Amino acid sequence: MALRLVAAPPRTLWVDVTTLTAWKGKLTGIPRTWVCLLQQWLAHPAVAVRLCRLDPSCQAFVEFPPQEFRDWLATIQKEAPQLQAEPPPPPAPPVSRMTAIRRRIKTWLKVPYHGVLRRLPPTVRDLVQALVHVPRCTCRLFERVPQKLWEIVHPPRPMIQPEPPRPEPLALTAEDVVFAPGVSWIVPDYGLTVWRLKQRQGFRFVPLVYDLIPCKFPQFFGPGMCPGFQAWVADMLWCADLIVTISENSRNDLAAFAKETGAPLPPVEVIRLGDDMTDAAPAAVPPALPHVSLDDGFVLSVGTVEVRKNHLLLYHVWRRLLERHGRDAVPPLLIVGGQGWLTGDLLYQITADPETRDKVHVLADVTDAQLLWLYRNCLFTLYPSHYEGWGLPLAEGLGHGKYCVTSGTSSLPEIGGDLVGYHDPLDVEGCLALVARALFDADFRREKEEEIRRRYRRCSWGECAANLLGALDRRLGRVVRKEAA
Amino acid sequence: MTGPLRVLQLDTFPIARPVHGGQRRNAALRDAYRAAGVLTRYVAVCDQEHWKPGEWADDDIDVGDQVRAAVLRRPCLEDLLIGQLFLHDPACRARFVRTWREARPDVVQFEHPYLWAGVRRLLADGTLPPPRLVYSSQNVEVDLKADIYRTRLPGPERHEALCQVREVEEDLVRAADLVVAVSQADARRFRDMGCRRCAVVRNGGDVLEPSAAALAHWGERFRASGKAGHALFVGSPHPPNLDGFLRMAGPHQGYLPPDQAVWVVGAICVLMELSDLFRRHEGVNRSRLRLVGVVSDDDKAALLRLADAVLLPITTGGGSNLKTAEALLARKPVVATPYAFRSFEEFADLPTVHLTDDPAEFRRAVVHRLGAGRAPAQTPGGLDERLQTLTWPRLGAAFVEHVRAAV
Repeated sequence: MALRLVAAPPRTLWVDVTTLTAWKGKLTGIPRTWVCLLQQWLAHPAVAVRLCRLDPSCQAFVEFPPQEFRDWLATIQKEAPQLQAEPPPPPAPPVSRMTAIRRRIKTWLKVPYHGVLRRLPPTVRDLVQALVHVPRCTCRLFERVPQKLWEIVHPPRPMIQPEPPRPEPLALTAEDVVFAPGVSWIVPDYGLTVWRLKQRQGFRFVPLVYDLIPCKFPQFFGPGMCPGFQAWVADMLWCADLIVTISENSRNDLAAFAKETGAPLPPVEVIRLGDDMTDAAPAAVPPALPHVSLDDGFVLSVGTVEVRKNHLLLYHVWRRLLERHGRDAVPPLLIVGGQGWLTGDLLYQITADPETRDKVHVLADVTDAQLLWLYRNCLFTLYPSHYEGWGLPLAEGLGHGKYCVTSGTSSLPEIGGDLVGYHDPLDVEGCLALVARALFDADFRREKEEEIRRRYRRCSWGECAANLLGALDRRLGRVVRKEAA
Repeated sequence: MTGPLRVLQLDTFPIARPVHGGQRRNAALRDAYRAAGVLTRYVAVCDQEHWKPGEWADDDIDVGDQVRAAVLRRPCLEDLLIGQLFLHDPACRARFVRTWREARPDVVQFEHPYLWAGVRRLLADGTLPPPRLVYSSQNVEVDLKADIYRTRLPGPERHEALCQVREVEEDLVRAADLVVAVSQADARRFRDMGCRRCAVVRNGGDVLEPSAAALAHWGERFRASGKAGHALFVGSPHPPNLDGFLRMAGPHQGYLPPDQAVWVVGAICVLMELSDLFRRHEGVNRSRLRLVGVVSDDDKAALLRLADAVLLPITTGGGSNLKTAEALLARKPVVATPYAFRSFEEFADLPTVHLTDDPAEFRRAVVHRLGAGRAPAQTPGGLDERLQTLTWPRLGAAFVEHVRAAV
């Protein structure tokens, strides 16, 4: 059957991938959300989505070919999780026999030469060195002077690199919707550029604002990031015809920010993120952990190792558990996540502390298949994060039917409801009590898992993508569909 | 009185390089006297270590270490302490008396009342012959200090300090042969204090003509900012200036769209950056504010010429505002509070002036004005007669006439 574009009312959906293709390494967090949504839309036979990026040279959106996105994605998926080994250095070019002999003689003579030099009076030593260097300089002179004379007579033509073709700015109109799910706060003056383009071209702009954590908790980030993020949020509130966010808590944070700063508040739509991880089958065996046995069970905590995720609390909790119950009774804690920021001291403590170094393990390079194995085989999961925009690892754990002990802040209760155990992120004893119960009361754990399997409703990325499209249709008018002829 | 009139102006800050409003007013009056053929000397009794070389003149007198030490303990009481203690330093006293005797003033003009605390003792004990006295008030000091001391001094000390300010000001008002107020409201206050003769001469301004280099420099800065609308706010590090800005045009600048900015000029930038309110959403504020700091008069003139609007968010403080006069003389669109237009009420009906004391309306007016496109460039000269009355030469001449009539 032939496909044709529906002519009216057309609203082309453009997805801004400006900062996506610079991502390297395993896809987690925001890039993963982005890619999952795009894959759903690009694969959907009825959705016509086009990709664009903000080009700095023309200060406008330009088209980004879908094939380039697929090529980039293929590269990322091939590279993750282990980076490819460095290629071996190219072999040195062969040297002539005379050059090799000359080098050998030089090496033999070097030591006696310097030994004799040291014994000479300074004036004589200087004279000898000057005499040695003169032939060398003279040789170089005789090499270079003819070359220079030749260049004066026959000046080399400058290498003219052909300029890459300038991209063509998109002539967006009021019929276009630009959806920006990325980390555009890292692009200088992104908000100002989009605002100016909107004034000129009239397209609808829909940013995805995941959370306002850098505004609320600048201490969780390195210096310099938070002011730029704050300015970006204010700009997005001005530019957006609709804002998409990922939890009711983030919606409330946006409203509070708008009220405090005086920025306008456009309509805000909350979309639940998907929690299906991968199409791959789980690994047959766990990730290799020398001298660690997982046969008697283990506890899992997934999330980038950054200060906000509060692994410091887990370190303290595990230490207490080991003190009170003994090493034999306490299983290992596996922390799975890439290296983040502001946690160097903690990682050192975990590995240097004789109590925890064999019981708490941080795994950075775990494949999706291995992570699936870990989720399926763990006793339960932990997620003590100080604050979240959503909390995908909590949802993933619940999706695998696993009980979770988690902090009760921000969006986490929206995911866990009454199915999980909550603690204050600063409360070691509170978390410890919940963990101990989950560890040592197998009946409690089983009951919770049954309840989770019965009541927890998963959300696929397909559903998420469809819901988002529905929200755009509802709020801004129907986006372009491909329909069968 | 034979020969030209001789006037000795006294205050607690120098005017060799006038920057803030008080300095510019004092310098303008000195220049007006001289233009009228009056022999004038301006003497600042001040802590010269507080000022850079070049900012004070040969006639200015240093207060000495004793006063300096007292001011260090209570910086917000600087002018009160100088007035009360400057005669305690022998060198300062000797120099002051010598300068007065050399000047042989017919009229001694106090720009602020604080030095009267010491001068009246010299007059009472016969050290100095009694001249005619003019109090050229810039504010009703006791009202102004009440606002400032409220946040800077603990309760009992605040009350005591205000009593001392009230006492010295009321005494000078009653002793003066002429009190010149900057607004009718201030004049009413002085009449209530018992002044014998009161005139009103408001603050004025200068028509500022920027150099081509300054225009080019700031034009490029405006362009490089990427913003389409630029407002200007000028302020000294005077707490009422910051209070007004935070109340009317702040504390957070998210109400401005991404392509609009407010350029903040003057030492108020320091106060602003230290303010907790500013720092709370520092990223948003810095993306929409350009904190320029202290600039030369030429740079300020260029900024005024290039800006699309001038903001006058004044809500407290005494007197009348030189910045209002300057904005009107620059013929720029103005978004202001009614308070900023004290003594400029007859200009409130200009089509380029928007007055409101409602913060939400103030901000809407700023956004609307900056979104309305570039303000038309004003050609130099061509001030109408109404605006001419705001210039210092005109106002200074009127001031001098009042003084001549009083003496």
